[in-house]
Order: sequence, then structure tokens, then C-alpha cells
Amino acid sequence: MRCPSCGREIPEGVDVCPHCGARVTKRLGMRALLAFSLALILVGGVYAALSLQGYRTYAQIGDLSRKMTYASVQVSGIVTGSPSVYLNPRGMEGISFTISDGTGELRIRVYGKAAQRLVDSRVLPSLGDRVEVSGTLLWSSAGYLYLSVNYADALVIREDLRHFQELSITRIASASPSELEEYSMVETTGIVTSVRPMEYLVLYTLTDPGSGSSVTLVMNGLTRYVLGDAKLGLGNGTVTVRGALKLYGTEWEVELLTVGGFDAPAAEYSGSPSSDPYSLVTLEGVVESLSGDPSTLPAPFSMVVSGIPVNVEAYAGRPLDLGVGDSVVVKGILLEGPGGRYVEVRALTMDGVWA
Amino acid sequence: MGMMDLNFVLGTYLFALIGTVAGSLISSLPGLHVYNVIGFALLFYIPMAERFPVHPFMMTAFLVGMLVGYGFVFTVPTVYLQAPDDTLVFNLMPGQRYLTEGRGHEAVVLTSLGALLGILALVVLAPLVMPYLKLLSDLLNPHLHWIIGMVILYILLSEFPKDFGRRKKISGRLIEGWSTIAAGYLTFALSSVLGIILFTKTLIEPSRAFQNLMPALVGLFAAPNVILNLISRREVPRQVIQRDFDADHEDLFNGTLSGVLGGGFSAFIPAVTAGIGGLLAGHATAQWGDRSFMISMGASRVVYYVGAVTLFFMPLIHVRRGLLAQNIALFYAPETHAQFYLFLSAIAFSAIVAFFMTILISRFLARRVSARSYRIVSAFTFAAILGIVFGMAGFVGLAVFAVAAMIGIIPVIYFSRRSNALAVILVPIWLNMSGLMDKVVQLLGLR
Repeated sequence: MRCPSCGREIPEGVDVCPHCGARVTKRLGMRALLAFSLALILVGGVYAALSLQGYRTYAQIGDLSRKMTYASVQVSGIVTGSPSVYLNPRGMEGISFTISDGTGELRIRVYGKAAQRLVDSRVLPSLGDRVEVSGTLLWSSAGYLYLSVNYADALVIREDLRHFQELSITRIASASPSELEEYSMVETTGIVTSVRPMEYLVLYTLTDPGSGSSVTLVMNGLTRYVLGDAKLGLGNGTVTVRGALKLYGTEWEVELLTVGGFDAPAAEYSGSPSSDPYSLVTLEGVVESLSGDPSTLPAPFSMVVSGIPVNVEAYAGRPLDLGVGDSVVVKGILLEGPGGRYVEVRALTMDGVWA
Repeated sequence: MGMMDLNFVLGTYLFALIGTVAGSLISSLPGLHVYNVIGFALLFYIPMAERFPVHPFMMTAFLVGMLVGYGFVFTVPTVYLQAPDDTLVFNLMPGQRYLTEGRGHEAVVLTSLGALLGILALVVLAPLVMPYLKLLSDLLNPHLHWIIGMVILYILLSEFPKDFGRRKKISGRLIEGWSTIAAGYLTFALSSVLGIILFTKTLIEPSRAFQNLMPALVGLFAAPNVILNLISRREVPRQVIQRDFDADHEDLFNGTLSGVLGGGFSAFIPAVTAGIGGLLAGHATAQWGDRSFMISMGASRVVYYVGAVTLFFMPLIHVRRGLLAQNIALFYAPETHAQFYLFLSAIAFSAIVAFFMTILISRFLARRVSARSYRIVSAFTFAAILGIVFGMAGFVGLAVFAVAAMIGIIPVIYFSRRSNALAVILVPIWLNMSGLMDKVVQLLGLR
């Protein structure tokens, strides 16, 4: 008889090889090795199937609790909190918005490359959108649950479920809180008569030129980031806007879709000082007087160019080395005030002053 | 890429397979670390990754396949091509002792079975422990400096129990016993200084800086054995190809458990490498004998290497531990659960391929291993190591390699623990974490 380990002759019936110390019985056969390999194949197969299906656990927001922190969940609902963007000195850090499914509200945060991919693809959530989103449930140090989303495909925006109801500005402005449905999508038409850039948002007043009624338009922080310089402003003429209804106190506002929220004619600065008010004009001439210091922008300044007063808003352009007697080209909107007509050069538009 | 399609999954398997076969073949050569080969390959891949027709995930599968192949097949040259002298049989690692008994193939199978069970444990446990690793990481991060300090202390103290000193005179026994310990501490001290220099001085040009430590690691750990093989005169007994193996379920359980714990610890704690994981696992299983020791060595090595990359693929954790994770991060950022599961699936697939390749390569070598054959292979490996070091780090790299090899040969000559050379990484990182680096650098006159 030979030792099955070292191959040397050993006496019959011994349990342990006297040469190498190996056990002659109670040994591990190839069958055991194959069994372990099979176990690994099964585990690998299960994981492959999981990767094919994605990995998700459907949940209702009301059922989520702090005990589920780090769980992977999928939720669906309507966007009820305005999409906003987190910025840091290096650029965009992430996108945040809130959804509701009728059982509760949940903050969604999309981070890093996933957020950048959403911005690049222009597939972005808007107030009132129906969305399905999967991610990891986390507990914020500020004391609330949120869903952390780390890849772009984890957010599905049901753009096919957007149905826009055509409503006039007058109808929206006169409706009581119970007459319209919050977060329903509407389309309306009017003229932008004021622009108020806030820290994160831009608020517009959209006016019906016929009735004089107006409604507040909200451009959320994400749209403002995506658009860069806002392309919606005074002097765009009649614009058609799309967005979701939102109650502010007892008044209805319209929050613009994050992407494609308005159709505004391209701004052409073809008017002259004799055109109608609200026309976009190009003014070429010599600076006759100057009040303020154009080299210290973002501070506002004013001047008179070839007899026409020009007001330059704060943040409307770059610092200029400009003095009396210099030739300038001014692009802005023609307005009419108590002192007569003047040109306003606005921030967040294509307006500007060129020396 | 949230939802995976079947073609993508199959493509991933294909690249993992190619990587595993390539990694297995490379790892058959003694002393050639797969990290060096991967680093060398990435030196060419990363600059053109954007234009490369291969999806970065598949490239990752290829690299991880190489790593898995290495984790398994590395056992083969360790057992067959670092053949020991008969007189040293009581001071050898069990694998080498098995070789002297004609049981090299059995040693390889038991070690790679440990690796297979280690991978099985890793892929099963990874998704289960994932939710807690972030918490554990947050908990441990403020304490890493003293944990690493304890590991360093453990390495130094574990040098003590030696069985040398057989001379007749007390003074002779004293010198013999202490020479080993002193050699260990000398290795530790010199490696520490080398590590501090490499961490604080940019010896290697910045474009290759991510390979800054490579020449030192190769010199410390790979070169000494290769050089020793070239100059040694040893006989390898005839080897037996076993049909069954001397191990029972208790050995498998004990070995896998300690290997997974040791490997997991080293994968999770920065600066702690497989060598330390092996040391911990080795100490943990010493009382259970050679069989569980070899199984634990196989398990701890793969759990360390593959576990470190797995941490990088875990959604929300994305810890970059180990050279491969750091290199992958240069061209790819994993994001999803689906990618994580596909990654684990590819590991499982690679492990099965690597396991049977290890057995095949071992059977091939068991019949052919001889003193002459391993000297030829060692000469080839030495040339390959020199070529890779020069290719990646130039002449300065070769100089660092030479210094490191001289330090690395001390434990080989004096039979002290090789783990002391890990001070090259541990000490500088510990000094950095504990805020002492500046003072030490000034003390050494490096700044």
C-alpha cells in the first residue's frame, strides 16, 4: 500500500503515513473541490441575474424609516419640491429635489458624475413630473431621510405623462386655491414685464397684454444653472411658457419646466430710440455724461449716449474702461419713464455695453 | 449603465477570462508581481483610455481577472520554484516542507482551495456587510494611526519566538538567536528609511509617480528569492500527483475563517498588506497545523487583493485600497449596484477558472520541476523584473530597486521575517497619519 500523499510504501491499515504524516483516510476528494466550485458558480450566477435586473426594492415613501438607512430602494411619485443644484468652487456637486407619492415626501439627491450626466443629456426633473428613482436611503445630519442616487439611469422621468392644460394668465391669476390642481402642468402665453433674480431662483412677471393680469413665473435653480445666462427676459415679445402650477400663499404661480419651459423669440436688437417701448435696441454714439464707475462692476452706473439716458444694471456686463467722449455700442431694452425714454442694460440677458 | 444587458455581461466574463488566463500565466513566474504587470499595462492604456474601443468596465474585469489569477497561481512558483535545502526543513513554510516530501501538488491544491473558499466567502459576504462598512470606516478612520502603530508593534514583537541557537556554547547560541532578531530589526529600520525617502522625495518623475513605490516593493519582496534561486544548489524530490488530499472540513473551516479575517483586515485598513494579513492569519491558525495554515494563506491573499478592489466597487463606499483600485480609479468610477453584482459575478467566474488553472499548472510543473528548470525560469524572471522596473521608472527606479534588493536579501540570509520589509509602506503612512512625518524628515536631514 502506498501513501496517497507522498507515494511511499506504508503498512496496510494505518491511518497516518509514517513518512510524511498525512492522513490516509478522511481525505478530501475531487468531488468536494467540484462541489465548492459549483457553489461559487451558483453565487456568481445569482449575481449576474441581479446585475441584469438591476437591484431594487420597491417602497412607499411613508414606509421608509431611519432603520432602513443604507437600504437600496426604488420609489415613485410626483416632484413637489423645486429641483435645485449644489455648487462648490470646482463646479456642480449635485442635484436635489423632493418627490411625494401620497404617503409622504422624500428628498432626492443625485451626486457627482450622475448629476453631470443628467445635465449633459438635458433629461432633468421638473416640478410636477412623475418620476421613478432608485438609490440608497441615507440619514442626513440635518435630521431627515433622503435618497442618494449615484447613477443617471436610476432616475426615470416620465415625460410621456406630461399633459399641458392651456390656461390664460387671467384664469390662473383669478383662480382660488381650490379651483386648480397643484403640480398640474399648464401652458400659457404673455409678455415678460419684470425680472427679479434671487439668490437661487429667477422670478418673472408674465403679463397678459389684453387684460393686464399677471402671474409670477419661477425659474428654478437647476434651470438657471443649465441655461447659464437666462435667455428669458424683458423684450422677448410674446412668449409661451410651460410649467407646473404651484401655490404661494393663496396665489397661483407657474414654475417653468427645467428644460423647454418657454418658447421665446430670439432677442434681436433691431430697434432704435424711436421704436415702441419694450423693443430691444442698439444704440451707437458718444458718451456725453457718466454717473458711476464702469470699471467697478458689478456696481450699476448710468450715462447719456447721444442724448439718450442709459441705465446699466448691476452685474450687467464686464468692467469697462469708459470715459466721457468715448464711442460706445449699447444693447438693451427701450423703456419709458417719467423723464422720457431711456435704455436699460439688464443683467441675465444678452444686453451689454461695448466701448 | 443601470440595467445591464446580456451581451455586456458576457463581454465582461470574456475579459475576465482573458485576464485570468494572462494573470495565471504571468504568476507562474516566480517573483513577478501582477501589480507590476498591471501598472505596466496601464502606463499605456490610461493615456488613451478615452479612445480605447474597450468599455472601461470590461478593462476593469480584465485587470481583476489578472489579479484573481495571480491570487491563485502565485502559490505554484512559491511552492515549486523556491525549493529549499533539506537541512532547513524545520524552518520552512509548510508549502516548501510539503515539496521536500514529494507533496508539492497537494500543498498547491490546499492553498488554492483556501483561495477558492476565500473568494466564495468574499462574494457571499460583500453585499451583506456593505451597509455596515461605511459605518465601520467612519468609526475607524479617526483611530487608524494607532491601529497601524499596533500592527507595526505586532510585527516587531512577533520576531521574537525563534528556535535557533543550536550551538554548544551559550555565547554561540545567544549570537545565533539574536542575529536573526537583529537582522529582522535591521530590515525594519532600513525599509522604514527607504519608505520615508520615497514618500517625501520625488525620485521618480511625476508622470510616473503613481508607481513611486513599485521599484522598492519589487526589490524588497521579489528580487531576493529570484537571486537566491539563481545561486542555489538544491535537489527537488520526485513529486506525486495526488487524487485526494489530506484535509478535512475542520481544516477547511478553520483555515478559511482565519484567512478571511486576516485578509479582510488588511484589505480594510490602509497600509496593511497581504503580508500582514498572512502573518495575522498564520498566527491565528498556527495551533491548527499545516493544513489549515496553507488554506488560510490562500484565503487571506485573495481576500486581501480582491477584497481591496471590491471595496472600491461597493456603492457609496468606493474606498480606494490597494494599487489596483487606485489605478482603476484613474480611468473608471463604478457607480451602481448592478455593476457591483456583475463585478462579484466576474470574480466568482475568474476564481473558478483560476482554481482549475492552478491545478493544471501545478500538475504540469510537478512532473517537470528540477533544480535546473527553476534556475532558468528564475533567470528569465529576473530579466523581466529589471525590464519592467526600467520601463516604468527609468534608471532612478533601477537604483531604488538595487537598494531595496540589498535590504530584501537580509531576511533571506538570516532567516528573519520578510514582513519586516513592509515597514517601507507602514512606517511612512503611520508617521503621516500621526503627524510625526515632518519631525522625522527633519531629523533625517531630508528637508
